[in-house]
Amino acid sequence: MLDVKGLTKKYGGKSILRGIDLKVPPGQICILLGPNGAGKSTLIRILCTLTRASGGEVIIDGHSVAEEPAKARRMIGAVLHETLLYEDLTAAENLRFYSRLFGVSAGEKDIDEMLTRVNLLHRRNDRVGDFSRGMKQRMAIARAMVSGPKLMLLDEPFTGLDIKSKEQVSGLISGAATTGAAILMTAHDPEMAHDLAHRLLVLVDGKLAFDREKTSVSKVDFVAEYRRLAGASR
Amino acid sequence: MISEALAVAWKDFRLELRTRERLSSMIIFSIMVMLSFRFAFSFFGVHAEDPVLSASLVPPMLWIAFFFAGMLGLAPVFAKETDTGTLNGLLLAPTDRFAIYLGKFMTSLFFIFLVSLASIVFFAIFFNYDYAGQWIGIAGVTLLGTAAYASIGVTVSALASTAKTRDVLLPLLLITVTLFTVVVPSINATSSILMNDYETALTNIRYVAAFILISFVLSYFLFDEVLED
Repeated sequence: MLDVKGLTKKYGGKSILRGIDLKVPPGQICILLGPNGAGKSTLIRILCTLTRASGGEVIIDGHSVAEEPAKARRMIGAVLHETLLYEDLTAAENLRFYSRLFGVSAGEKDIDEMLTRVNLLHRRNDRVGDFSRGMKQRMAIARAMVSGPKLMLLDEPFTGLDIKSKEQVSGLISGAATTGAAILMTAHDPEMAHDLAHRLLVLVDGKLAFDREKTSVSKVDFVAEYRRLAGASR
Repeated sequence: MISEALAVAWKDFRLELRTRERLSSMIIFSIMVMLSFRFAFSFFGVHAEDPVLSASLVPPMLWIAFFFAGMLGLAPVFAKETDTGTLNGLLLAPTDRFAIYLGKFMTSLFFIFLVSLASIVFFAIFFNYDYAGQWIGIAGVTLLGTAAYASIGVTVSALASTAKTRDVLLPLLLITVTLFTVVVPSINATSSILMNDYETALTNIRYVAAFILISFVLSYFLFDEVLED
């Protein structure tokens, strides 16, 4: 599904990403951890086609991000730092707009189904601006999923959420993976990452310093290894 | 591409209907400009009813109102999307980014033309002026001129939206790009219509129409780069 080869990114003279190689197959939840400034958000933005890479190649479902960005974008559902929601539109209006923008044209039934999945059907006609942080994040995931993406890219989707909201968002991400979507998300909490992921990655100073299946490393060992790697970063 | 452009336009209309941020500020500004002219004319004893005077004074007055009210309409086209982060949502759409331009052009043209028509009516009321019976001709030139203004204004607005000095940059760029290509020919066309000189009007209308074409072609090729991170 996602195939990244030798990806590099430079801003000015500074290398942000230094040769990333990564494959995420359908149905896998891949969690990328790393200290602040490691290049996680830059990587997600490049994969989303929002930022151009300096070198390397990104293929999404057979489409090169550099050569066929629109076709690659059709496969992607992205949750970034911002919710990308219009606060003066209702929950249903936001989903209706994004489905039309993605060429899906979800009907009212589809919108209600999506809102049910994120447990927001009762707020379908309320302005998103009146939602709590947790509700907005669930809406952001609904927005990302409304086009039926094959690849979901999530940049720190748990930031600012309470425990209950984190559980709800985790459930949505797991649910998306079970339907066959490949998932790459960034996070800061190694324990939560170990609980949710199928595969764990650690990015340090623009390079992948750790890449293992969850089953091959215990939570305690992973947390210790992550702290060691993050502490050793520049 | 058209359905995505319509989706962007629908969303902007919906937001404007709900917030009325853009239209209200544009209309209030337009009324203020007309009132200012009214007081200035009264103070200096100028009468817009004089046909020779009106042909030379009315068009620039109208286009000053259209231009600056339009600027108020163009400023938030991308600035608000950039500030709230929703621009990334548009950029993630699996379509040619020219669709975003088209959607924004549709709403910008609608709002600027609507406020320009309102300005024409305000002027008629405040100055008791009947445009020498040329209402349709004036409205037609206004539609063409505002289309030209919006066609380049949307791209300029996108270009300025990420700049720290966008509040200064947008007016500077708009004046530089549109003063002699859109505003002056539109003033000349309006003035010619008021004087029943249709040949001169047509020449100026052709300039403006050509500018719309150039602006669309430029925007088609540049818009993706303008929005690039």
